[in-house]
Amino acid sequence: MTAAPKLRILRVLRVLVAREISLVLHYRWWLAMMQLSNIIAPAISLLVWRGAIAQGATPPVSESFLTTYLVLVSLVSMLTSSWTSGFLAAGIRLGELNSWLVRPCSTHVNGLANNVAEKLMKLTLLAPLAVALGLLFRDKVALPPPGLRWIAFLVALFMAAGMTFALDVVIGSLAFWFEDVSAIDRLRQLLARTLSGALIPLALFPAAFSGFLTAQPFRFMVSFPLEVLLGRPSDESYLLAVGWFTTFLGAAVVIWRIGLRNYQGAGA
Amino acid sequence: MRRFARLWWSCFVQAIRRDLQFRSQTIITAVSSTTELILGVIPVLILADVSATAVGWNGPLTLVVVGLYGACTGLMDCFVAPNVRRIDGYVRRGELDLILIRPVNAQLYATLRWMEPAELGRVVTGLGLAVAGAHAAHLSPSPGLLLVALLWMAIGFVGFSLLWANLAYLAFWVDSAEPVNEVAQQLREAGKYPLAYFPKTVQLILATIVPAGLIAAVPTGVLTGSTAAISLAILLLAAGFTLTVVHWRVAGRRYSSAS
Amino acid sequence: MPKSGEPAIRAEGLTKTYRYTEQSPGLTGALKGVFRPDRRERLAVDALELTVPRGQIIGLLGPNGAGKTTTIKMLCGLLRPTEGELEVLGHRPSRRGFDFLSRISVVFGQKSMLWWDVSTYDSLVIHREMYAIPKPRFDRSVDDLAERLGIQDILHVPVRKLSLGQRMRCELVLALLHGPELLFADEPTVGLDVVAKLSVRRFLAELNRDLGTTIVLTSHDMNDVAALCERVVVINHGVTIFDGDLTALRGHADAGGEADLDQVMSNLFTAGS
Repeated sequence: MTAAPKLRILRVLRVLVAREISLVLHYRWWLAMMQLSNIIAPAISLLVWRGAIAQGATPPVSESFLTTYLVLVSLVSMLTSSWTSGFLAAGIRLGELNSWLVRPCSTHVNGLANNVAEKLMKLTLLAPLAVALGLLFRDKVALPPPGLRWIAFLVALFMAAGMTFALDVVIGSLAFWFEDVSAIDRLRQLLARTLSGALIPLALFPAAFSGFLTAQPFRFMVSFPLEVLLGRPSDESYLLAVGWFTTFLGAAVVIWRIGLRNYQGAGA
Repeated sequence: MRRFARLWWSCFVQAIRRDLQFRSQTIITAVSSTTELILGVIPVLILADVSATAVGWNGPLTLVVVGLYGACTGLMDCFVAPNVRRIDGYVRRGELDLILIRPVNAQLYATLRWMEPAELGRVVTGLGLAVAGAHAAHLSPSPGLLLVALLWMAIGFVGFSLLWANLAYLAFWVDSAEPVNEVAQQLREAGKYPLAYFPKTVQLILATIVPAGLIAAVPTGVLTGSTAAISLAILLLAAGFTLTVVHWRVAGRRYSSAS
Repeated sequence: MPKSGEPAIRAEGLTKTYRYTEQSPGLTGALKGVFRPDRRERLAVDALELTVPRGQIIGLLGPNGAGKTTTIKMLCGLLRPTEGELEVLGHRPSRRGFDFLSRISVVFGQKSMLWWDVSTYDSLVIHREMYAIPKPRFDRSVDDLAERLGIQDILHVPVRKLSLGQRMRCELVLALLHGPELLFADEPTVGLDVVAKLSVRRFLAELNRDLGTTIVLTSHDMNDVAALCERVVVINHGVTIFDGDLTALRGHADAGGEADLDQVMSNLFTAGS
């Protein structure tokens, strides 16, 4: 094998993404509705928090941070989400994984392509909704000027998406050992929704929890990119981000390898 | 009607038997449903913590709202949600035929056929939260007041279920209507906040078209002594009910002509 | 490149043991399983010896649960053998290297490798990138395979709209696009009507004759086996109980030259147990 294998995988990824997009296009209305439901939760949060502030409440973050955060959070949590675990677990349980294992291409390239295509499609649907929300509260939306901050944000966003995908692969791989991983996945979703900052900024939580909240991994899946863009996270935070990113990626690789060794090739 | 009540009861028994059969699945559903409620309390309590005095709601009263919200939505997710969530499938896969051929009111049957008893765990937890909150807030309402609050909750329950049903009937008109269920569920979340936090126009919406506010916020308000126009609410509910029946009829005609 | 005199498949003492945990019924049983799992072992393939020279069509037969599927899965790299030596085209299959995977191919009769919602041609394009096939060779292969299987006019139809027979022929095009030296065909004719079945059979025979492709076939349809396989290996309870040609098989099963092949196989399976 002399042809650059990395290049081959990238080319495969490209055709798979193209195919996934043509598939996802069939579901555009379905996805559009889904995005509508995704914007409702931050919109409600915005309404109540702005209502509270208008009536004299003094939250520990500035009104413009809070508003901008809640306007952008639906976009960030969509872009860093992943829905691979269910498909992966089903593939392992029902033996569809076999079709991938006999081809010279990892099944995760397919999972990745599926995620990328879905993100591109959702972005075009959700962005207008987020812009509308932003316009509604435009008096308090404050975005930093183009520059280094945005680049750092994109890097953090990419790492957050990578971490979520890796965690998804870990949970999906548990299907090598357990019949049903949906309960574990549901628990993960519940924890993530509260601890990632997808509902409200973590800075609003009581100060007693702040040590735990800053260190736990879910923070780096939604909150951290927004903190990079809108606030000033500490230097240790960046180190933690890299640390968790490597840990999750490593865990995914290791668990997948062990699982594959145990694999009993379900089905025909 | 008697016949229907007996049918409903047998569906309920069947649902419980099914849940007992798949015990681990049931326990998981019950646990995550309750966890969802408890985690859902967090943002509301944080909001109350920061702003309660400014808005005129204190922490314990907020707990009453969240508790009642949990109990009422637990009931809704047990008896209503499993059905409205199926409407889309009925229409797309033509399974509605299997309902239309039964000698009972198809709309009622399609709305109450399926149940998810495990969600009732949230009713217990929710009521517990509400009682604890009421106790902490030194709230000891008279039985009459309690009854009025309960009536408001019932109006909220039926009102929101009607809205959800109408959204689900969109499946008759458009192809990919399934996510409207998510939309409905997310809209319902507005009901766990005291109405006082919302701007006036939004308050009006939450009391009428999207009656999420009637599920818990208004009943809690009633318990503390504020009054609300209940006759108007019942009138609106009747209108909503008629509209829903008409919607089903019109949509059903479309269904039969399509297949 | 391995020397052409080397066999396509060489297995010595090939063994696969499944480990599994028995779960007692009920929730308490499930909980007990987490803390004190009841581990058991089952021998699926027991010291199998098999050498397949290049260019042969070999039928791998056996009743359900005999270890036939496990063997195939080890041969194509899906399962790691518990013990024994296994070399396929000079590679260790379970390493699943690019060089190995791009020289073999698998057709599952019960499982589609085609992407369901797009046309066969779109699936072929994905495989072109996956196997790094140069464009001119790709075009040539598609034309040739489509002509041999007579599917030129359905190449651009979404797969979900094809009949089972049409789909199976498209599966074959996809599986053979990269010109594998070794093809595993796992029940390729299951559920097909007579016309499609004959067309698949004819195609496999041609493939072997014209390109020298080694084919490992499993099928419950003895007519497939009779029409294609010069050699038959019968596996039962994880061990080889017969290896030879069809005439010898009839002799082995004490069946006359005229006996129905299904009867022959049935005799063979029940005699051993």
